[in-house]
Amino acid sequence: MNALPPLLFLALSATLPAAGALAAGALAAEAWPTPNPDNAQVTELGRYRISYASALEPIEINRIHIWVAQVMDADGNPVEGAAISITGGMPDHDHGLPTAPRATAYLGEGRYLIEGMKFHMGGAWEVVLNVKSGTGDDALSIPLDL
Amino acid sequence: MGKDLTGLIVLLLALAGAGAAHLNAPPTSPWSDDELKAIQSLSLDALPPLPSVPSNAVADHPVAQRFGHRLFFDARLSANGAVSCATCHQPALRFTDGLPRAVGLAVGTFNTMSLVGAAYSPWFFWNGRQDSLWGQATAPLESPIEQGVSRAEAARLIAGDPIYLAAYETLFGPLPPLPSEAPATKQEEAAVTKAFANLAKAIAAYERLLLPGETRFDRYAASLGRDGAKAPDAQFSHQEAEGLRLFIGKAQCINCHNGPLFTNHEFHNTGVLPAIGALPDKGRAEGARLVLEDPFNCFSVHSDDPAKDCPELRFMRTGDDLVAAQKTPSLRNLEGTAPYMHAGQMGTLAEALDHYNRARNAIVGHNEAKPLGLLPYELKRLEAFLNTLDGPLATAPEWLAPP
Repeated sequence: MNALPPLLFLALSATLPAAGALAAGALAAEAWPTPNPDNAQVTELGRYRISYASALEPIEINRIHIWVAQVMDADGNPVEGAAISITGGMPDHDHGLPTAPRATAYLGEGRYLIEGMKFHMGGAWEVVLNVKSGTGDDALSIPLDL
Repeated sequence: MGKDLTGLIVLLLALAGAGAAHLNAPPTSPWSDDELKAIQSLSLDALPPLPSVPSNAVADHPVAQRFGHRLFFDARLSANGAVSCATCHQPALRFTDGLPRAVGLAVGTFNTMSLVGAAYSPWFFWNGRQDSLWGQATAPLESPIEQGVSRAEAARLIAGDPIYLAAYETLFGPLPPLPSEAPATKQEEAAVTKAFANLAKAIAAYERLLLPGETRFDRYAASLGRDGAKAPDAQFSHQEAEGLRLFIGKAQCINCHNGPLFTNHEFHNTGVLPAIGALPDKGRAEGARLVLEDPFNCFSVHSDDPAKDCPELRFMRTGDDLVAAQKTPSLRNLEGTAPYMHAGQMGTLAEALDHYNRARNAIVGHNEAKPLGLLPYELKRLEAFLNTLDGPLATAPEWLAPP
């Protein structure tokens, strides 16, 4: 139940803590979860379309895991070099995420690796992906029921 | 009138038919699908295998388990020769001490946390100021109010005891020459600190064996089956079942006390007052700062994980909004582990339940809990349920006594 798929584990083990933005070529691309662009959602101001995938599917509480978010502009072109930040929490409980997840690498084709995702309670959550790029600032709020 | 009588007969026949149909129907579950899912999520059957510990290469080594067992009960690892790990973590009290605040060489600041199932947690101590079981074991050894030995004294104990030395060298290779006094050079200090960290890793290997066993609640959860179609365990009283219903529902206990260990291993400010005469504790706000600085954390040279991946530490939340937040304790084995809360402020479960029912404003930070408005009979039901969470440990008896 708590074992990561072996490939993913190897890939995670190879990720250096302070390496910052890693070259996409150094990563085992096939090990990352793949967002389905058909499920892309439009951000609040309509500037981006974001799809995401979790390495933990279905998402379980109390387990730290990674997501990949794919960011496209309104015309469907991949957005490179965006600054992605992650916020969120449980609106009914008046508290945030238990961790401080970050986008740690650009994987190419508009895909960003997000590490440190964790939820510590069952119930209604909201994850907000905030995107900054030359196209402008925008955000996508993702409701989750865990 | 005749028409009325016919109507009555038809009605009676219909009722009789309905009654017969009811008798033939399978018993309906007392639980909804969502409730069943919640109950199964709390059951020991849902407990995954122990997480691997890349930072401790000997975490599951049998020699380390036996070595750690001896060290755990060895009072020579203290400044006065009278305090061991087991002084505060007593097997008969579920590895707690029955005191409000721990007493080693002096009275401490915090209530002793149980070690049962501790190996599942990413954080240790009430404020999470350590991120591994072995890192945790280093702290009381060195603390001047707990065991108060220096790293050099602990290492010299290993060197001077043939059984310890043999176990150490089997696990970690030759013990380097140790200074007879406090380390004078960087090399001496490094050698001593390495031996000290290794000793803590052996203690952690022993502590990983301390696991919770089946309770009356677990037997009840198993009796319900996955689909709730089986006959519920008759040993579980109506009072206890209704307490469970409150626990997973209206009383919201399951928000934090979730999963098979009844804890999310995270930090919450629930407005618990400081111990009488004590200043409010800074809680996780301080713990998060301390764990980043700790010389035995997952990033340290003493971690055996070559990748130093450390996801919990790398993506740890920090900041002042975590002030006065303390770690959610497990609710298994409450019977042996009173008093409760981070400084043992509450002697009974009834006091703890009353505290959450009222959920007064916190004096520092903000109380995450909201008043529940439960009536006295509901609090009694909750208490009855909590008392079904006690059971023998799933640990062989020889580990529960001194070697």
